[in-house]
Amino acid sequence: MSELTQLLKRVSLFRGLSQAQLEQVAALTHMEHYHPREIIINQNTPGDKMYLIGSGQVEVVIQDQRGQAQVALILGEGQVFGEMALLDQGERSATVRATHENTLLYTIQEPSFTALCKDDTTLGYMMMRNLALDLSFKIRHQNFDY
Amino acid sequence: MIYTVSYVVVGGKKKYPSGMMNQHERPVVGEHVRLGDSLFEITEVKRMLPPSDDFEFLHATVRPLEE
Repeated sequence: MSELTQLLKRVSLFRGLSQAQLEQVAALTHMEHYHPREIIINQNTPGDKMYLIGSGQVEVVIQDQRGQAQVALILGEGQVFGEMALLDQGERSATVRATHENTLLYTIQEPSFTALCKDDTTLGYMMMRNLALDLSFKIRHQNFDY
Repeated sequence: MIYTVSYVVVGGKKKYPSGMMNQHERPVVGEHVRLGDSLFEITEVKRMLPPSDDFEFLHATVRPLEE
């Protein structure tokens, strides 16, 4: 088992996938490295890929309508962000920047992800279920934060 | 088991961002955790959702240690 599929097994977004399916997902990913304070995505810009944190941490910064920016959330290893782009292809809802040296991210592009889900509908069902559960977890987390 | 943990900061002189991460060890009250540049102590841990596959979903409350 590759290091990447080992990582995918530790990510709740991919729970329930077989080894072969994890390897299919792994084949879609691209690796990116970031330095502290380096911006990964910008709020209100188009999004076409999802990010998975392999190591390090990132901070999610939200700018309100008055232009005030606030760090709302820290995400660590095994967390994903930008996943809404896989579902709605909408604009990014926040800016995300690295906080650690050598923050390692894996990205999955929306077109290749959608094609995989269509080719393997069992995998597609599980991924959509897991995406919904992941977003549900984030909403519950947000409820605790108020 | 993988623990997906939601961390929320309670207390402190300023508003701290919350955190989410996956970890191999279950968080324990009294342990320290670093979120971004800040260090926190875990003060409460509770289950957020029932376990699913090899994942357990927890909520932890933390307080800032360095102010």
